[in-house]
Amino acid sequence: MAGRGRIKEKGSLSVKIVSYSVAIFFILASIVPLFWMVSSSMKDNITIYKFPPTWVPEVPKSVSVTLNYDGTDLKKEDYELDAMEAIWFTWKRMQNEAVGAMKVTGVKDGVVVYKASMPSYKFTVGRSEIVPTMVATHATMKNKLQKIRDRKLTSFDYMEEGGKYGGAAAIPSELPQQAANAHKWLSESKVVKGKVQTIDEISDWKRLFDNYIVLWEMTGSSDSKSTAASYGFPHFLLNSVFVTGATIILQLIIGGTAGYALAHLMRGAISGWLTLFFVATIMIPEIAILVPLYLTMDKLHLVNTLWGIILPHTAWGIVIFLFKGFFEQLPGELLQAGRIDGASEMKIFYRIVVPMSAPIFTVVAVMTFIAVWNEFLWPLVVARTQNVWTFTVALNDFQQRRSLGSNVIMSSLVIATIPLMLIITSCQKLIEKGVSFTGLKG
Amino acid sequence: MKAAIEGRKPRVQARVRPRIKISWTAIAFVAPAIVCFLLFKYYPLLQAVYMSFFDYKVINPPGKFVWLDNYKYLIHSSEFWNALRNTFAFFFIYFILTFWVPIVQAVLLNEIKFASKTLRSLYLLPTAVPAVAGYLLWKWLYNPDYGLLNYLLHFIGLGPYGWLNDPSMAKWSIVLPGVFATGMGMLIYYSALQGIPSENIEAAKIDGAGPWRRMRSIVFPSLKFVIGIQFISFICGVFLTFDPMYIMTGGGPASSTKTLSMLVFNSSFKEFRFGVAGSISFVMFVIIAVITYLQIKLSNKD
Repeated sequence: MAGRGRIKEKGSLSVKIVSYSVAIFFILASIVPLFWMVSSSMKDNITIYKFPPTWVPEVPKSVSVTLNYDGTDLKKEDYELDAMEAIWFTWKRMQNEAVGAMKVTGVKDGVVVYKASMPSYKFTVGRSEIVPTMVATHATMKNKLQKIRDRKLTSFDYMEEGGKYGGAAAIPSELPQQAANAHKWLSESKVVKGKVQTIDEISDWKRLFDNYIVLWEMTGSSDSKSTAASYGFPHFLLNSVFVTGATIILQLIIGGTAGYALAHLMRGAISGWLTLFFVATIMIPEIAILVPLYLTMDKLHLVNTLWGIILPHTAWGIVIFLFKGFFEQLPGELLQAGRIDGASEMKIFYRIVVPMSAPIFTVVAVMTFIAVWNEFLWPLVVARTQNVWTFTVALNDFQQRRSLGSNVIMSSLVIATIPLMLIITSCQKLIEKGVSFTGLKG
Repeated sequence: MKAAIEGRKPRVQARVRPRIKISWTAIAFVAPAIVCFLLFKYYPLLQAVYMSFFDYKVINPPGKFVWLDNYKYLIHSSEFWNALRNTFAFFFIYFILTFWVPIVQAVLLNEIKFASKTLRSLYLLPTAVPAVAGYLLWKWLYNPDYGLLNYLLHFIGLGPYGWLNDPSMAKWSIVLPGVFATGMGMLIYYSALQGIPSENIEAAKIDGAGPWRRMRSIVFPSLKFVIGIQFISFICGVFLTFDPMYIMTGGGPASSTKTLSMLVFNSSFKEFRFGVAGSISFVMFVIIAVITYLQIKLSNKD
């Protein structure tokens, strides 16, 4: 009957059309940027800066070169130097192309002497140190050789008794773009000793995720003066996890006990004044007490520690307000029964109240997670050095680093989004519950 | 609700608790919270006011007592007036662009019965991007040379725009992402709408009110209370916004996005003039208190 009424009613069609189109507009408008973020995070260093932009990232090409050393007399170190020059200097010439990996095989008299290879993320990581300029001489590479070995940028396998070389013996007449570029430079340069025997390129979809691996390997900071140790993105994520986790635990304990005391352990007037004492702090803007709070933390020797980020979060008026509101609704008879049985208040709280109050504890935990995970200003102020940065501070630093392209930054955004995405999608019900608590009563 | 509280009162009094003293347990339960709030909220607040009367020195605090000189400095500082103007400009832009969005979304979503849970989670999706990440993402979308927005707009013959680099557009560009991250606000209104008794709507139906009319005369007015509350937190939130300006423009171009909160940050952690920062903080605190007071006053009149 209701269905029939809806169809017949005047204006119901227009309401439907408007409702659906508004919903679809907003949802599309928010999904397109997300898609763009993921797509950008998989682009190589070059396509990311192409206009017009492409929607779907291109699968990177990996170039493999075989160098022929017939008629030369080289030792292991010479081969290594030659291989590094062939990879790094060639790649430097092609740094504006979509290269996913480069592999060099050294062959002498039909026998494989060495194999060397490097994926693009290693090149991205090492580029500014190993090949800062276009200068390509033996001397520059000799200086960098130890650094390449130490940081395991390029793999190099020397083979005392390599197997027979079974690959192609001649350069294909039609070379794909990347391979042609590499071949051009390798055959023109006087630096690399080996002669190009053959060269080829293949698509390698695994290299799509190189920007993510860069995050794990990267070092440095936008502040060129800083000599302190530098950290990869996982370190900052772990800091954030620790800060968020510790904040939630502290809030549940401090806020939970205080809310219970206000609801059940005090007389009306005292409880009312104390509640006001707590809840009024909601009106104090964070930025207004930023400076004195920083000075306070300084006095407590907590500046530049994770606890310095965590502790101020223990004073959230809204948390105590929520706990108090929930505990007040608990049936007093149960607590009374506990008291008559001679249980201490502590025991009543942990044995009776906490198990009955799982909803409010989870709501507070989820709301705190979202707020603290997103927080930027306070960590920015308190965390002065990299070892205590949360990921939000690190993200802001990434965008100022010259060595990181927008593609790497986008991949860091994707990673940072995943935990929050998991929480929000799995706890939607709780969030809706919490929102109706805070939105309507607060 | 009120009746429920009153109905419970006698029961509270009937408790066997000693009424004169507060038990030690109660003190133990509430003491950690009191210490934290004193240390991290009230002490800093007083300190902020105190600092604003000094030429504050970190090395040898509190430094020279200057009475109202910091405030006098603010009055003569063009930077302060510029920041104040920008803050109010942002306030209006946020109001025009974002405040009504979740209300419209919720009221219209309320009309959709099909897959409404899925739609709600889709609305929540942008909230899953951490705020800082969202600003960086939008900064990338805005990129005048390689950004997606200019690319999409050129299809309909617009642009290219400078977005964040253009002093006349920078404020709007900073606010625009907020239009698409209203999932939480939408949920608040939506959950409020679920509380409307269905009899009211049925009655209106019988009286011959069409769906638009019902929306205007029943659904929307029932949100008035929530809108009032949301407006207060909207004022505070917008007035104190710091992250998007700091991350997306750093206050530029030509100081067009420098707000009071950025001024507090800069004068304290860049110029180390803590006294000035304290006085700006206090001015902001007063402005927010006044606006909130006026808002409560006005909404009580209705």
